[in-house]
Amino acid sequence: MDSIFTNTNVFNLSDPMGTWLFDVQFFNVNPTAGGLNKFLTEKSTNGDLVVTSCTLPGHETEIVTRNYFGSEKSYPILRKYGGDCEMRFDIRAENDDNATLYRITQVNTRKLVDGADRIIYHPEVELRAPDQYAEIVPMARFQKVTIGLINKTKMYGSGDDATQKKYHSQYDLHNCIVTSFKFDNGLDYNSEDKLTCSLTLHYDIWSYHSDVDVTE
Amino acid sequence: MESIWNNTFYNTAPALSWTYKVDFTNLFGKSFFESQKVYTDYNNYLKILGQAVVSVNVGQRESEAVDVNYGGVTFKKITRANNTGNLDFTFNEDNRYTVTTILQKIYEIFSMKQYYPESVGEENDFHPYNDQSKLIKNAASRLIIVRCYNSGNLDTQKSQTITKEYKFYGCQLQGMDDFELSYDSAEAITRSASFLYDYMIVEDHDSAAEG
Repeated sequence: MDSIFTNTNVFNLSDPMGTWLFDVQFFNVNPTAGGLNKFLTEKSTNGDLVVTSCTLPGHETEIVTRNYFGSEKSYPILRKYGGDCEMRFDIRAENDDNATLYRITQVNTRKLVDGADRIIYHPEVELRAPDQYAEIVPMARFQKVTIGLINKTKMYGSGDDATQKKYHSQYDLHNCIVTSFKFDNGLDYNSEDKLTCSLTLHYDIWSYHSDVDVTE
Repeated sequence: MESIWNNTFYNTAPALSWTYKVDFTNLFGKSFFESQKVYTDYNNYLKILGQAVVSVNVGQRESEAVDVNYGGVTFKKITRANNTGNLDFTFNEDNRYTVTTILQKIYEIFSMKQYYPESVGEENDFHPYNDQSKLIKNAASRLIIVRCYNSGNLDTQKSQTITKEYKFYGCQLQGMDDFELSYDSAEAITRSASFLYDYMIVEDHDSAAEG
């Protein structure tokens, strides 16, 4: 084994997976739900959403160790598939994308300060989309969020397959609840940075599929 | 046998505290209730109670002992075995307070109807202390079962292996603990309840299907 060019195994291996070949789709709990659920579901389906970074799921297994006469032996006792996925978005300047901020901030704060004596709705504890108070954005909970890893040789189809994109892997995160939203940077006349925000989703279990065909 | 690796007892996985289920549906027999509908309602309540259990302590055996002294030395003699005991459960609660409702109904059967202090002697507002006939007649059906599963066989596609059944006979709900409501807390509410039992039977079920 003298050279990478004579080692046929290494030479024939496919290129390493780039961390930039991915996209994210959101699937709604309730197809008629409004607010953030509906917004992210629609935007992710028609390709308008730009998730610029995203963490991938893993799992942890708890063990117990038992001792006997100076020796020890371990056993797996419980595997946890749940975890947190952090996604980052660009905030765009176009008017329709200001809607992202409105939906992500979850509650129309003008209603909080208008002086009316009313109970502030708590969308975070609801398991269904509310049917009133449209200005209060329903809780952000998604049945499924899929992270697709794209096969770079099949990113774009041709002819009749122009709208088909082939993933070589797909991670499905189930029962996703938005647990955190924040802006990564503040507003600053002296900065050339773009405005980005991070959204953290907690999921309870994830699954993996390979060679998935997705039609947009 | 110097090492755990030669100790055959440790070739099997340990018993785990989470591989169990509780069955309350034998707490009342069909004959206890005046109508099929009421029996069906209570059967559903008891199924929900089994689904809501978080924790329970089982398995205690205990006997009394007495000292016998002679000539400056002491030895102990076991006397009476304690067959009765307490089953203390903790339940998760949902936002409709379903578990509280069910426990309240069961408490009224075993202890006191909550309107008893205001009652005007009507039959429905009884205190069971004064009317044990109904409970005595149906003593054999007051059964709570705790099933422990073999952690090496938890596949839901196959018959899960029940390894041990702890059966508690003559159960009565003695009480429910209070629970805290607090603006300073973001905890989910749990309810604790204590059942008395007359005796416990422990049985092996090496190859039974899930009951």
